[in-house]
Amino acid sequence: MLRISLAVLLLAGACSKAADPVSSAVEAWKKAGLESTKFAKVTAATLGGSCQTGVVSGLDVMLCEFGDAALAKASEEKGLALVGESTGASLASGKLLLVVADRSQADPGGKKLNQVTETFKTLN
Amino acid sequence: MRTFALALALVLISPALAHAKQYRFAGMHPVAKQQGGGYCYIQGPHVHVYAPQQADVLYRDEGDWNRFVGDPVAYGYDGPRFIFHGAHPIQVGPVTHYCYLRGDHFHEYQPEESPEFEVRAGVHFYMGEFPKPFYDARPRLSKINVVYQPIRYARPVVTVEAPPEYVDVLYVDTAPARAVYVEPAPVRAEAHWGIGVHVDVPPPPSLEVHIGTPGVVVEERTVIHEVHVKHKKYKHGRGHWRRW
Repeated sequence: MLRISLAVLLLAGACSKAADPVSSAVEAWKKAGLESTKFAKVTAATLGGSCQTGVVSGLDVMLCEFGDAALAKASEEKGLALVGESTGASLASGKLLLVVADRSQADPGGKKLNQVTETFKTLN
Repeated sequence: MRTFALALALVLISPALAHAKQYRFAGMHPVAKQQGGGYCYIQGPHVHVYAPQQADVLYRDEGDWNRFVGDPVAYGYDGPRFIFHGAHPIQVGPVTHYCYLRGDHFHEYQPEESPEFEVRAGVHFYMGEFPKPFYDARPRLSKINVVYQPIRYARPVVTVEAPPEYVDVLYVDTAPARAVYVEPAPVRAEAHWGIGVHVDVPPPPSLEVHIGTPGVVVEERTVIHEVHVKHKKYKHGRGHWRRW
């Protein structure tokens, strides 16, 4: 009985870890050869949803999780506004919204930004 | 007072929106010359602070987004490429655009297998019919060839003959409108950018459309190929490097 309980707990732990979208995204970016800092929670309700920010290969990245896919999609425009006067993108995939901006002009040809967005698309 | 409060709230909620000067691109495209030139490799929708260059012939509208439809190799694109000959449709999901580039050129995409495309020695020939909107826009959009002609880059080398049934819709036109491709002799142009630079540049072809008028009109032009001695790095005027 104890063994079964332990197995259930382990499985639950594994499932909750796999469900963390930011960790999954960071892992995927690292696999794609990109460098990522730790992501920190954003307290300001800029886009709605639960958001975290970090830097991926010199690019400012914000990842937000929404209640449903429609809300994430509807927030793409707000994400573009957040990019401001930079090269950037705002892209929803499932319940997630990715906003990425090259504020330091670290990526003139956009190859890294493209890797960030294309990898993000494969997450769902 | 109420209007002021609403305006203030909007600015507070979305400060970036108040200042944003963005141009929307639907996929990969040339980078504006004032940004250093080259090619942008972002495949999905994205924004830049610069406008698409020569958008009237090099881009097509997709809602609010600009889709580049030219030969990317001319702008330094170094990714996978496919050879096309003459005009052909460009299918982007449910949307169909048309490419008006004459002769052999590259694109970064390969068309889906279709009986309308015949592939000979790696060259894609479009054998299908073009709809009326293609012909309606032809006088305006065929000017893309005038843009490309002076650009020096490694164009595709094609030795294979076009299929016998192939019709070059950008060369042969039907009465009463008749398109004439005029290729004048090369001219020598001098460009001065602080230091003396001599550039031999063939002039662009001119596409003249004659409506019910026989004969050929040759438009004389002098083209100066731009030589960038030094690329200026773009800097934001506002100087705010706001993080999230």
